[in-house]
Amino acid sequence: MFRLALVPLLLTLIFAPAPGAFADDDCANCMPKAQEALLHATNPAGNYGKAAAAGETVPVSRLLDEAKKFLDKEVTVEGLVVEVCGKRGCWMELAGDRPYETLKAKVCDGQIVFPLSARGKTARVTGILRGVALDRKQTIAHLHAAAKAKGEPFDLKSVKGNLMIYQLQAIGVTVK
Amino acid sequence: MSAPGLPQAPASGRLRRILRGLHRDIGFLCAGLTVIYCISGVAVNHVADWNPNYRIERRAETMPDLPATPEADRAARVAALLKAPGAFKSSYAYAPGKTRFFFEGGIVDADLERGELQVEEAAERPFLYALNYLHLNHGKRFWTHIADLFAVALLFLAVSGLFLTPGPKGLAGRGGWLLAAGILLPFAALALLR
Repeated sequence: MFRLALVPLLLTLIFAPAPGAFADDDCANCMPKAQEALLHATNPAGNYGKAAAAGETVPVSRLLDEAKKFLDKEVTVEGLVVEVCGKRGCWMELAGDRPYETLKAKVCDGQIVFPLSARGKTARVTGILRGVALDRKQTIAHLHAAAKAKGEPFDLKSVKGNLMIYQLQAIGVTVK
Repeated sequence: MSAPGLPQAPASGRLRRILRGLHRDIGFLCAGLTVIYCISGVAVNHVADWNPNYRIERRAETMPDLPATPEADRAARVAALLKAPGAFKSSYAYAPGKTRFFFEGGIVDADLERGELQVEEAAERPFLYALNYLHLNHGKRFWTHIADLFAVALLFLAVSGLFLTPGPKGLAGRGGWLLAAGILLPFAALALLR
């Protein structure tokens, strides 16, 4: 009898709405709408992480040409989103002002989730420029993939030295 | 409850009966959610291998007349390859002679010189998406509290289950060894993986 009496009590505890349970998503005490839910959102417009900084942007071409000058510094870029990570939405690739040149904006998995629907939209990204040194094997793989994407033949002999890949560690992204 | 005049069952026996009853009833209550969390858990555990929320469909197509199509009309032509293209967003030349067309319903990579295309569309996995939505607490609000209570209930099931079986197969016997093995496993994993 005792344990039977516990069952309805447990049911009440489980299904009774907690205080503020039906509060709006935007209420001050609630977390912002789950970033993961935006991974497949149809409307990607909005901020991811913080809003991207207002003010002047640095052209991607200049950022990559003068990478050492901007390394580990906070910059803001703007461009067309041409690709988004299809698994966790943990990076997006922005088209630069120079033909066929892109810049990747990366976050830790789950920290910010970029929706696939952001592809084809313009985004403003504030982040810190980081350099990722590739070893020889990674350099070859990277150049091979790039050549394949362009439909060009890849010549192993053309690989001289190891690459340094530059990407943004995104702090705030605004998709328009 | 024992009949009048007969000795009562020992306290441990009564406690075990209560535990067994609670374990049974709470177990039934939690069975549905446990199945949801297990299926979703396996799905997201392999997120490195696949996308648990939606399925990316890719296929190759050809459009021999694409090279001759005026640039202004190309987006409309390639849109026909998508099941539900939606509005055209923009396009981007990612390589000489190659353009990516972005639509609300997918993207099309076109080799404008050869008329060869790669179509990509994302289709939601409705069943898994719903399970993951609950497991990963996307909805937040009251589900946070339900999930917390579910966790407490699972904890109760785990702890109460230790005491349900007396004797050599219980905690003092074989069960104790299995319990120790189960506790050692995560420590060993951490030691090896970190």
